[in-house]
Amino acid sequence: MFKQIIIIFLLLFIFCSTNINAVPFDSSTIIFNFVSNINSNDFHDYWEPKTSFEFNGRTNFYSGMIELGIIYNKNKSLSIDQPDYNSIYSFVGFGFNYKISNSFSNYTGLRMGNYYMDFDDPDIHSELKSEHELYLGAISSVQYSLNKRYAFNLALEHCKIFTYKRIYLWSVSVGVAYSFDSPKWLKEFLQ
Amino acid sequence: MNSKLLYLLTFMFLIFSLSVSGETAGNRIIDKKEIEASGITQLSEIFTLIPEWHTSSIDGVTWNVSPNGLEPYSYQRWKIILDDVLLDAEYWGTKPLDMIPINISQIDYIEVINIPGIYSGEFIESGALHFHTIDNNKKTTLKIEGNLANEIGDPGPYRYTEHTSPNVDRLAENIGVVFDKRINNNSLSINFKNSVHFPTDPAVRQRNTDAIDGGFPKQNLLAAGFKSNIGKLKLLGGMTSFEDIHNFFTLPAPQGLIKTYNFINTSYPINISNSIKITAKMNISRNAIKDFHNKLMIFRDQIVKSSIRIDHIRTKYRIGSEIDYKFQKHIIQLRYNPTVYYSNNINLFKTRLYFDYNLSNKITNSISFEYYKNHGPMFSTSPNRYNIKVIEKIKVKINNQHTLQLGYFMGIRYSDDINYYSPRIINDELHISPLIHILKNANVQYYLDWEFNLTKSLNGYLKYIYSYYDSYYNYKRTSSPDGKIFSSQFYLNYKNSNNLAVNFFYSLSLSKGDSQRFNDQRKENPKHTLQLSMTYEPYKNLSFWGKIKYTSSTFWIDQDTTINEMLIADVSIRKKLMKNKAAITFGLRNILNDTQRYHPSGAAFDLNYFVRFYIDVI
Repeated sequence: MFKQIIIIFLLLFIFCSTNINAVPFDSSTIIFNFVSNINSNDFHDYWEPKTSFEFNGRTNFYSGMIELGIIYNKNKSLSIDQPDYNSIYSFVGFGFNYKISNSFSNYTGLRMGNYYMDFDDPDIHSELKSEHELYLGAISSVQYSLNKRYAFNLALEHCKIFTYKRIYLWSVSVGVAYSFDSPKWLKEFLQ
Repeated sequence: MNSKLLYLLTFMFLIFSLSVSGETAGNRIIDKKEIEASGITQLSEIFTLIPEWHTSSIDGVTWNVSPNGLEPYSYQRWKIILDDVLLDAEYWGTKPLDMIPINISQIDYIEVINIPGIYSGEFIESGALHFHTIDNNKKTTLKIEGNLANEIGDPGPYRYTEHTSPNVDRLAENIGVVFDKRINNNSLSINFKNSVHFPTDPAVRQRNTDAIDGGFPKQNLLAAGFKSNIGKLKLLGGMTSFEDIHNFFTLPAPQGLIKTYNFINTSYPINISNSIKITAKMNISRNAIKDFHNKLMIFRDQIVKSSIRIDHIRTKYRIGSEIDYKFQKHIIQLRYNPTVYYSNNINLFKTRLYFDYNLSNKITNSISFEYYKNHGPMFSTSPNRYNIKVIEKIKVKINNQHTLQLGYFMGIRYSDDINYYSPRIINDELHISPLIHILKNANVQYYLDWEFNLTKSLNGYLKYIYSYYDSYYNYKRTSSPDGKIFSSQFYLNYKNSNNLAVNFFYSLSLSKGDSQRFNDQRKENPKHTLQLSMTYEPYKNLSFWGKIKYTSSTFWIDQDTTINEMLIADVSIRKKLMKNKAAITFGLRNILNDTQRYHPSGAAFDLNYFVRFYIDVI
């Protein structure tokens, strides 16, 4: 699945690389989403991912946009043999934004980051109580502009967590996006 | 030709169809730009940028190397030089590079010395890494740097299910601080670093846990260094402590040890005239090894070195000599009777001479010579041993594009091997006993090096090395590994308008042993090595770096194990921030997720990733 997504993304990258005209970092968007898991596989035999929260920021970067964000998520155990655990995805991403019409736009991108897990298990060695794992994600979202600054956001994300037995999750998120001209300090920081 | 090699060649063809490749020949320079773009997180990772040096490691922390594929991993004759100072940090056949008390951000460039000669007054016959650190020009600076890294394949939440798997831990985490202060012509630089290494392989982790009696097997390194220029006087020093888990070749299990290295060096140049320069140096260092459990001293090496070097440089010739005196106090503590220890005082006088002469505008002849003699008892054996080393080389500049260099090194050694010990486990404790071993051996190396600068942006070299060993190294000291090694290297570098650099390297290593032992050892070195690396800077504050390396399979006779060929690809992205005052690097290593292993009993590395940061606070 991921190979196909990456091929599509690379084609998109080549297509968009010919249109490098935006000034990097001149505008920014912050997004707050509620995220809900929608698929079911082996993972869901043991845990039920609860509704999670996503906070991320995007800014234009040459032909595309870069993003930086975190998602907090609680996974409720379905049996006493497995503990609950909290997870935090922290990621950086790169993608492309298309204006579909005056009100609608689409963002498609890839994310890479760290999936942090903290187990609610008092019996485990403190060094093993938490774990980190590589996480790759692909996201496509639609934004509907409510006005110049605010937009309604709906996104679909597929992610792969590189544990020994891989975890594959699909999720839908809804939320709001707020856009603004990047302040000088932010531009200076990113340049 | 197998499928991985074919895959690599296809990839290279694609890259070369878009661009082509280059760099200086013979001795190579790894510059700051390449170090930064690749996202090197600790000093030992530098080996990933040196394809001409073969590497082996059990834990992925301490690496044994074979410069130009010429020597076995059990024999570490290569040298470490820091700002013209030879470091004597050696621990029973290993040279942990991370113990050098400098931070990554301090490195200006690294000189990889592959051609025998006298460098910084030191006689280098079998490779060296010379770390050149930055001399800061600003009044005051404070830099902080660090990284986090992790390897994929943890059990994650599945550890609590029937799908559980062994834990794979994170990779080294590093944090470092560098403070520089300059007042007029005087400068001071102080740095600190802390590295924590975690075992990444279940087998290594279990062995290391056992080595420290069930504790969590972290390898913790703390180092602090300083560099100061007071007028012409140069001071350099540092202190390092490393809680290591040491793998002895002759013991079935590793041992927990605390290794320390402290040194201070001072040098002072005196210009007698425009052409005559004298440099005086004094160096005091102390290596020590303690037991991890009870902190008792097992081994201590105290070295005091002083030297005077004279260089006379004229247009037509360059002549120099160095006289070096080394006092070494070498102590091995017997554990089962702490009141008994073996102590040896070794006095060593070394004489070095070099003479470079321009025979014409196009031909330069160089001759280097070193002679030294031991004075002092070596355990119970008798004293006065000698070493003689000679290098002769001729450099012919054919035209502006082509330079040919050919030469030979010859070394004859007759000395006691003070690094020959017998480690034993008695009552679950490590005991080291010194053994008498006398080295009587010879090594001859011939080389031919053709350097070319075909265009302004394309250069490279083709090198042939033929080396003959007569017992020059002796892995288990039970046989005489005599034999010949032929190594051929091809290197190409392309730089395009300063934003694209592509390097290609290939080496072929062949050998013919006069003894079975020699042939067996040689199989630990890969016959073929190919590496293609690329740095691309589409914008001033953004760089991409990638590397793909193929090594052919190796066979390890002592473990009766074959390590399959490897195809390892790494990528990283570096973004500068805050108008170049900060930078952040993300990297993925082993993205093809091939089995990456450098020793049959060693750790296997899967796909891993890291984030490295650097910030100029002041």
